[in-house]
Amino acid sequence: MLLAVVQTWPEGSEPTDASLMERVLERDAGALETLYDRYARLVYSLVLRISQQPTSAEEIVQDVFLQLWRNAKRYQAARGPLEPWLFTVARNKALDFLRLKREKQRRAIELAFFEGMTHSEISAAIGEPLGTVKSWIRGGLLRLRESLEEARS
Amino acid sequence: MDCEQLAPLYEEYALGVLEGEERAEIEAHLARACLHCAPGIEKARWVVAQLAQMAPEAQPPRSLKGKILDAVKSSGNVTEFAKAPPNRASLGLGCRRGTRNSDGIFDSPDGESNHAVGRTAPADENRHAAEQGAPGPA
Repeated sequence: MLLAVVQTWPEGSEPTDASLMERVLERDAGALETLYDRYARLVYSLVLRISQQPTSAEEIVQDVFLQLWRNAKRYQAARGPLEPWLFTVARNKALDFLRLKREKQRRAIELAFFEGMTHSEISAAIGEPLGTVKSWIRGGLLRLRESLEEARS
Repeated sequence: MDCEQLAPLYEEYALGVLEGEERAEIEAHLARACLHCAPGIEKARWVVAQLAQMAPEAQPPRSLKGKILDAVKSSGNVTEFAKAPPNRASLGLGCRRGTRNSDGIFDSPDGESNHAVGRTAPADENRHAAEQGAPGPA
């Protein structure tokens, strides 16, 4: 069967990204798996470096590969090399995450200082788990302390 | 500004650090699919993407691949090359859920808005990167 032939590759020669993307376009999940094996470590390393949070990094990497699957046609139309596309998408998603996190962290500290809310009140107000709120506020205050100490020295 | 003046800025644009007039100029050239700037930016994106190698090496959890493949398969429309009859996908029998539904489940909070306009994906991502600018100091 022709399709079975397509699945096997001569020994020692790896399928190119472009040929794998052709197969992704034909909804071949095995091709996506090969691309994952090829790029997941690099993409994950990049995203973890930006987000500094393994759980979020994992979600972002999942999102990147699902986007590759869903938008294969659009990617194909652009026909650039795959690697920079993956890195760019991953970086943008991770930076979006980081920006959102910083906004929420700032909001949490504002609610504490200007509105006198406690940890649990802030958690309810912004709809984030108590533990998350605690670590944001602690992290933000420690950064503030460090920057003030740096400024004085 | 002409293309020759813009050429040294391509990488900075791709990195997302350019502001003001310089950025606007490059975007104007891209908007009219400038034959010098568009491929130049494309190459710059590749150059800048190499900075990803600076990230300390980390290993994704072993479970992640399975999660992604499960998500892909549960979104339906997967061609089972080994087992299914070849016409399965074309008949749409693999679709247990609508595309919209399966897309919605896994959409990121940022959504697909950066792809909504009718330009090519890399250009969109590029524009998106430029909009974000560099991350602030940690």
